[in-house]
Amino acid sequence: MNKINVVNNMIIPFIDNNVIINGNSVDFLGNGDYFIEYIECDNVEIEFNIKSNVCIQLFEFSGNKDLSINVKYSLNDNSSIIVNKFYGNRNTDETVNIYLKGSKANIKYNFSSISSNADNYLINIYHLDNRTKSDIFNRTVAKEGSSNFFDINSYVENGIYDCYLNQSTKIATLGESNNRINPNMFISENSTTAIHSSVIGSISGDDLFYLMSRGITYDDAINLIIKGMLLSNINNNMEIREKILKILENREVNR
Amino acid sequence: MLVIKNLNVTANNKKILNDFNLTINDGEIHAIMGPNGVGKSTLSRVMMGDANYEITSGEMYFNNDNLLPLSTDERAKKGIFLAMQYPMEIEGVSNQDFLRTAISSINNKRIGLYDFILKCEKGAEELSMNKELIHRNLNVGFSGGEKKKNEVLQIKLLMPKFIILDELDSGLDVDNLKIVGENIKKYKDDNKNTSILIITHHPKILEYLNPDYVHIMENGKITKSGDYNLAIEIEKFGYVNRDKDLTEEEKYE
Repeated sequence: MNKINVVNNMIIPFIDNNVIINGNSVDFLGNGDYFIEYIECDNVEIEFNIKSNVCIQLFEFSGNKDLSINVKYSLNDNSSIIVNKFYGNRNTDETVNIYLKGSKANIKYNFSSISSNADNYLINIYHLDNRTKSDIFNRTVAKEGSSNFFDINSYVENGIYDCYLNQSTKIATLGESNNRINPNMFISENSTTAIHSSVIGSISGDDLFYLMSRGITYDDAINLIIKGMLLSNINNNMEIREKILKILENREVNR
Repeated sequence: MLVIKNLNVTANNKKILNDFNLTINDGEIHAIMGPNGVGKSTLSRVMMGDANYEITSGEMYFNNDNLLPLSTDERAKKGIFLAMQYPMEIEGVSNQDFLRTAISSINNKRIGLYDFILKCEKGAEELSMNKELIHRNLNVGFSGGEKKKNEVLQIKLLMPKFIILDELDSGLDVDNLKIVGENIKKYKDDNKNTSILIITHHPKILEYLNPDYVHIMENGKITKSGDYNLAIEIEKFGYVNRDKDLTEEEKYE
């Protein structure tokens, strides 16, 4: 897997025949898997352009403090991207704009985070051509005292046919926290298929009872459930998994 | 081994167990039968320490240890296992991670991966269980039969001393009931001192496990006890008519 580092808000250039980097814009010309890590960043503007007929899998990872980030994904005809994103930031303000510009463009956006402070996410998905597809999955563990706001807006104009929109957001709370999910779908076209679900809630007592009835302590049971929820939402290899587990360990998710 | 004395339990201000008494010695198999809503499943969850139930009075001892102050995981570590009527589906938690964590917790030491895989595969094979289920999310998308087999696999891996089977037969077809029943029987044969409490509506599972005692539970307490013949009587007449006088022909049958 190719690695792209974004350090101090700037992309570190690297050589790859399938990628053109121009400032903070990344053009993907051929298929591939890429791992992007945001290191010591506080204000990032980044744009990913996926050319026609190209399939990309992106792994994004951030463990920063006070991160403001603006990410744009543009997809052309028959292109697809799977975004696997994990944030363990302390204070995040993120805007994601997804432009499905070409026919049959397809995004699967899998986002997981553990929140200790204040995190705000605005995700806009624009279906701009026929038969475009968006699957948006957000999974967040909200620690005591944190706040998590998700505003997710999907748009389909009249005359853009046979689009598929899916939004699924889940926030699991550990103690008192302030959380909000606004799932909006602005659809002016009858041929659209739209699905959404939003859940905010604490960890199920029945789940905990089941795990503890097998000798697993309360803390370990919480850990199992939290790790499962966050890791299962994103495709991850050993390297990414280890990074995520390290962040979760440092955050002492069960305390 | 297990002693329950005058146990009274409420949930949502409703009394569910009413001066309940039961003693189960090492190696004994007991069955509790009864119609719906008499408190059978509540009993199993109370024994396991479910915080949704309030114990207003009574005592519960396992191997002379007072169970009431113990948390659910502490009771499991004492060797008590509850095979649940509706095993929970937990999204994201792999069956493998769950089983390995449970084994390590019960034994208080991390089990090696190789040993773990060998044990899982052996157990799954004995249960005619698809080995892929070990790698899937815990009980997610499992059929009723697969969930119950997964409960029995846990018994094989965790090696409990006292097993509570809460409606193990529900959700199992005839063939799977036979497999599950025979596997539990084999576990019992291999672990003579293990005791089993079977909670059921139907006597079919009892054919495999041949209980030493059968109890009828009504209104939160045991109202009648006997041997396996009591279960046959229930099968024949139901709970309502079980005390009616038998004709000579019925007695002969």
